[in-house]
Amino acid sequence: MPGPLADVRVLDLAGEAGLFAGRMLAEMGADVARVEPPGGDAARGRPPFLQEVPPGVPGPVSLYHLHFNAGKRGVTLDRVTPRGAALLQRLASVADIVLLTEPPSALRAQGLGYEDLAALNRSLIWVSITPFGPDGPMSGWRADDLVGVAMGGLMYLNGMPEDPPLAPGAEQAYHMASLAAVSGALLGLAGRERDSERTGRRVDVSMQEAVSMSTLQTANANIYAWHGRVPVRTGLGGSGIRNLFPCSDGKWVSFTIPVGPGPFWGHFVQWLDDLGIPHGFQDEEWADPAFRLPHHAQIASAIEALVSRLPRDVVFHEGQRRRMLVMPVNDVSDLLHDEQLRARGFFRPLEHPALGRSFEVPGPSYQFSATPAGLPRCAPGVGEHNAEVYREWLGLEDAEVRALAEAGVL
Amino acid sequence: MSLPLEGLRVADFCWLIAGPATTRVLADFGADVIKIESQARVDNIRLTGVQPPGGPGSIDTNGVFNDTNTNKRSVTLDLGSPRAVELAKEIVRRSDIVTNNFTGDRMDRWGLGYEDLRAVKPDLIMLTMPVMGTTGPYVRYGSYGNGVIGYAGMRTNMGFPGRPPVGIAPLYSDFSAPYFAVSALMAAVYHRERTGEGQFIDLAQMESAVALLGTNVLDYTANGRVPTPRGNRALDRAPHGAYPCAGDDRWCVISVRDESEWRALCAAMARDDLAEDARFASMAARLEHGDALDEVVAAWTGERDAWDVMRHLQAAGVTAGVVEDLEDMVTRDPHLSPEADLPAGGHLEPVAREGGPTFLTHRQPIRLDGAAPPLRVSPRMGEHNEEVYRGLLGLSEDEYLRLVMDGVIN
Repeated sequence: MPGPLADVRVLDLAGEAGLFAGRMLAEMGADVARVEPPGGDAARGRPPFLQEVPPGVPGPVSLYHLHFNAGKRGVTLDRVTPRGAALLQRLASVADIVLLTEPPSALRAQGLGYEDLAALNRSLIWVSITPFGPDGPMSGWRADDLVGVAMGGLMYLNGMPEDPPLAPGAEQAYHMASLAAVSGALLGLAGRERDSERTGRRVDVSMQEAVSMSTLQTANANIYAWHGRVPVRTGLGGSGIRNLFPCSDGKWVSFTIPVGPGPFWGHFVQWLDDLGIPHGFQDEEWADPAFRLPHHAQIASAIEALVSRLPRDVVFHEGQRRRMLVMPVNDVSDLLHDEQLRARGFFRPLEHPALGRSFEVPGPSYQFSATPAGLPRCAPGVGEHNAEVYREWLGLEDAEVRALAEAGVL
Repeated sequence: MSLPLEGLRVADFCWLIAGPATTRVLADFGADVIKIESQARVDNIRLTGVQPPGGPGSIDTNGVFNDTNTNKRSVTLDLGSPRAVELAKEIVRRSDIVTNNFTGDRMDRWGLGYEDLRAVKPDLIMLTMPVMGTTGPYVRYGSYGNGVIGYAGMRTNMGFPGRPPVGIAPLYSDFSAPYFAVSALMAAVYHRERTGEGQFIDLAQMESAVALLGTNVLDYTANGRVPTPRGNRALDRAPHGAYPCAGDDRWCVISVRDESEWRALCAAMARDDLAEDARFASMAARLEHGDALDEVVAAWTGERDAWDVMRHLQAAGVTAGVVEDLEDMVTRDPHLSPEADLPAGGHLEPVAREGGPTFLTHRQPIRLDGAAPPLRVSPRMGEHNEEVYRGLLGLSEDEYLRLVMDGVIN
């Protein structure tokens, strides 16, 4: 069944920072055509790689490409040639959304700037991800994911206070930038459908700003603006209250007793009593959240005494049964065996015909009742869909596509 | 051009962070978001978070609440009373979208489930975004964002070897889930505009966090590998890390992607001899000699100011960035700071409430047609009761006052 974006055409010209955006759009049913130079692009060279490559398959096989380009169709095109550049503009003129990550000046030089493409296609949603936005003194600077997480303020908050700042796993600056780009693209697209003129939009996303949104609580700007304080790395807790603890099996849980009123404190004391763990919390003053806050070290000791008696998954399920905010610290292996994710069908097999194998991959993060989402196909081979995309989008005959290929344009 | 969601109304039952941060995006881009809340069940984010100096603050002066609720209207309604449920349905009848992030079947128990609401608004789009989603064995389990990231594997796919699994800074998923949710809602609005059909969207916050693991899942399902902590090192870039600079806890990240960036870094450090050093003569060699490499780079950065290091390296064509703390973001960053000299101002914008305080507020990382949407300060609790109940719903003054007296509007 088609997703909510069936019949939406996306021209994916994005580099690393925007690869996830195209994947999300494909998962929601859009026809995403990823344009690569002849021979394929740099994403195909990024690790990790598939360890066992079947005989006859040219290696190495990049899992980075397989993950981030899943669901897309692949076309090749040599943008450096005049015919290739013209062909690219023709693709943009029949697209609904174009995804870009090159600097605006480079795009203008190739005829891919907003004004260039809007003149060809007035309903186009033109989406540009740049490290720092299109204007300002840093707009031409170099940035990859590491610079994004550093300058967006997220990296400073990660890790133990006594360790250096820690980069997040799995390129979160690229993910936040892509998420903002899809949101912006679809705000534009939904707005276009509500507009009788069907006017397109220019959408600009700053990777740095997208990352900075994730600091909005832990390092809310008013903590400095009002109080002159600079939040440091959060270590085993947040706001000075420890909530990460190892259990009897060496696995960890996140065990949070919220500051403020609510039933959680009473549930916790009851659990200690049921296990016969001694504590001093029966005194009346402990019922007052304002008293507990400065005494959090005593509370942490009691949590430690409790969780160190039981294995992680017992703490998790028993804690949740008691309506406490207890969650396991999982690794990827735990996730693939997780009963909740299994019951919801989150991981789904995806066939990779060229490899003769199927792998489980993350499914969509949303279940639509009327328009179910899901990846339509695995990541494409180089130029795999040239014939069909050029035919369906531009009406080119197979012979014309062959001629373009022979002329070195594809 | 006008904002894309003008004329669209959202009946917003969200609380805490992930839900309100979602509907804030809709409000910023023009939707009329009516936050439905209650003195009987105060949104905890009104209570916990940064407050202005010089007093205990109030439920209307919280910095984090403001940052997740700009541009909304607020009405109060005690949903424990049947009359209140009827009023909520009258708001829904005049809305396009209903949102909530309650755990379990809270909305159904009020008589405000999807089927109940569809009866009053047939083409309704309803988003429910609890931690575990609306189905599965853990459907009643609750957590804040700090537990979600641990559950989703975002504490074990990063870190320094041998250190506790602190993972990404607390609540990260509270700021990524909203952009998944906005994307899903806008896709559903697009579908409704095309077909007239509304639908129900089930978004499990923890699934949207698993979706951010990048290649970690495929590396497990295809290669059987669970990610191991590797500090700030990358698989295909070296140097790649945070390097100490002059001062206390000051750092600059540097990421070298290829040989030309490596030569540029050597030249910028006035260490052309390193370019000849066999230990660093290729990416593979630098990855192998990571400790020695980090030592020579740190020896150069260690005596210098972090901002000077970044500017010097960027000018030399090296990918580098300050690990910004909150003071950097507010006072030094030429794009984030409210003092930024940019056509549209900086990312952090002062937004004043009449009578105080002035909140430093994140703008959306998305610009449409070159402009940041205007920010209106977050609403005081119940600020728009009269406007909505009398203006939108058309209650008479007598009816309205009776509902206030009876505590239905509270």
